[in-house]
Amino acid sequence: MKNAIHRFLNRLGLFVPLLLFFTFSGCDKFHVDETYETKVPIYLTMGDVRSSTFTIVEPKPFESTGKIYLYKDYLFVNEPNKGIHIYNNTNPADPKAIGFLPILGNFDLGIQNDHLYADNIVDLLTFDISDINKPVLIDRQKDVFSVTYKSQTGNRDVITDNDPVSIIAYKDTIVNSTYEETYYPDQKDLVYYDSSTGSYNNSGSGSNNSGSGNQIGIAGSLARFAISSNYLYSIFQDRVKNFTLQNPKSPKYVNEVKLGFGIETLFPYKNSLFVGANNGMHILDISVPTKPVEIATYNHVLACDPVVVNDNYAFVTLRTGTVCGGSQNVLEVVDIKDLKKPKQVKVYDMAHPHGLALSGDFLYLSEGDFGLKSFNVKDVLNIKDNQIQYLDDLKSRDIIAGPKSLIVLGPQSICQFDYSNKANLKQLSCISINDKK
Amino acid sequence: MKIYTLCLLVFILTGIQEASAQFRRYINHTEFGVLAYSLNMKESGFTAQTFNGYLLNPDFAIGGTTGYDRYLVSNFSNYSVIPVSLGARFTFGAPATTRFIAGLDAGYGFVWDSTPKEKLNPNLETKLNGGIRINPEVGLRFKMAENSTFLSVTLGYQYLNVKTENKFEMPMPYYDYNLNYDYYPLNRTDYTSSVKEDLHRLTIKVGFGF
Repeated sequence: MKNAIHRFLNRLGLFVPLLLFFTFSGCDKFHVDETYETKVPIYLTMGDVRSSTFTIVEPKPFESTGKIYLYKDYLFVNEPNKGIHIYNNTNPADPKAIGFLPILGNFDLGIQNDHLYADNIVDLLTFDISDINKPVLIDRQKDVFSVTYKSQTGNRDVITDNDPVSIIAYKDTIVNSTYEETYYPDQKDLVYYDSSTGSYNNSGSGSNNSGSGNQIGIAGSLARFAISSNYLYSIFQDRVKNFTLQNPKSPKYVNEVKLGFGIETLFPYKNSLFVGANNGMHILDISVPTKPVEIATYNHVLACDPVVVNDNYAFVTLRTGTVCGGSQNVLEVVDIKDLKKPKQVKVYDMAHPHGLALSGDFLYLSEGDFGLKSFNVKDVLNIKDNQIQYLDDLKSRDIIAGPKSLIVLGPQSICQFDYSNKANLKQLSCISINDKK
Repeated sequence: MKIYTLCLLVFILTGIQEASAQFRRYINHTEFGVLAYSLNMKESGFTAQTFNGYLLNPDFAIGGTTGYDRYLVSNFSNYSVIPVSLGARFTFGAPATTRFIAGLDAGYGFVWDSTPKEKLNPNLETKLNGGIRINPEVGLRFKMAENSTFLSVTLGYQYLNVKTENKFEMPMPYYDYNLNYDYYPLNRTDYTSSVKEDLHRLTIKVGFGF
């Protein structure tokens, strides 16, 4: 008996290590202590932004430009993510800088009856601009443009007042950090624990940008804000959000129409809203503004595409670009006499077309770095033969055909032209831009 | 330290017990094998070692072990190791041609980096220091002839501790996938780190002895 127990124990003595062996999984464990010098950001939180006062400051030079907007005799130029430059454009030959309205996270604006609507990260602001020298913030609609934020603690749909949204400054710091990593074969990444870093948000608000018996401003064709019959439409990610301006001092979110990703520009015309998307053009019926209805989708190849329209035709530009992924540089003319059945009329090859503007029978087209072209588009089948002028040294992005002047936004300048003589644009003035791009 | 005390204790006890018996007092056990993370053998290294010991009784020997180990660490670095260990070998089970063998080698591993130069960042200065190496094993021992010659097959576990000191003076790209690049400057300078590495492996070895 004693022997049997002995033998059993002997076997157990081998069996246990064997069992351990077959279930064992080796690894490399790293305990890392590291020290390095770096610049650590000092953050501004959403709470700081919301509690700050927005006051106009002295005019300052442009670092970059976004959307241009013309309201009465005032020209508004957005500096993406920074705010709005305001000019008195009573005399287009000599626009006078009024000031800069700093709005963090601002990309777009729309103006109606002396109320300026602008996005501020995830909020929609309303300013009273009856005194253009002193815009006054009168309303803030919180979180109307919020997206899903990724953070180390998981995904969230709202930014809280404590979330950092921007960096004010950096300070040089020596960082000491300690963490552990474990490596197993077949594992794609290291298992990662970091005790030194906090949780920071991904705060890129994918916000947006343009512009009836109401006094409304004129936006360029690249606009993503549009005001029509007391409603503010705004492109937001894959949808068009609709705000009522019945109470102009406090826009209220009404609803939204989902159109799919890649929508880029808005152009309201009569009872329709033309939405330029990188896979086509959507037409929304906004005759009942509270219920925008998509009535047609015109599809074409992938490209970036601003739209302008008149009663019969829509003019759409498509261009190649890394962001939009297009492979064609063309001007397309689309027959929209029947809004429900848009039909392609003709396609013209262009150099690198961006924004465009329509004034009567004349079409002005930005060719990006290749200049500015003007056409007589009365005969839509022969647009190319009716090119009137080609300013090949004027780099341009977007155009507004204003009542007093044709305003051309380019990477290096905002130039205005007298276009009373359509055949010969006469330069009135240029505001230079220090564009780093 | 506990292990050494234990060895000493066994040494004394067995020594007293078997002091009068007559048998050959010297034993050698030389082994070759793989250093694997697990039985799938992925990313394995190898080991070769020889144990020379003194038989306190016919079934128990203590001595010293040395050899050469080569590790593939995290599918990137190659470490070379020369171990210097105290060792023990214990044969057990009923007397027969095939018996069980258990071994333990515990000591220090001298480590240097054998990673191909082209894989390393020239601006990164790395210094490797060795550390404790422990290798318990268990297996079968096959007697080959009337003399003491034998073959062995063992399975075991091997632990090695390595310390690395890293220095990086050039700006270093900041890699942290939890953070948004826009909100962090993309470099760190004067980077130093000290890393304690615990390498855990399985060993599968074949050997011979006399």
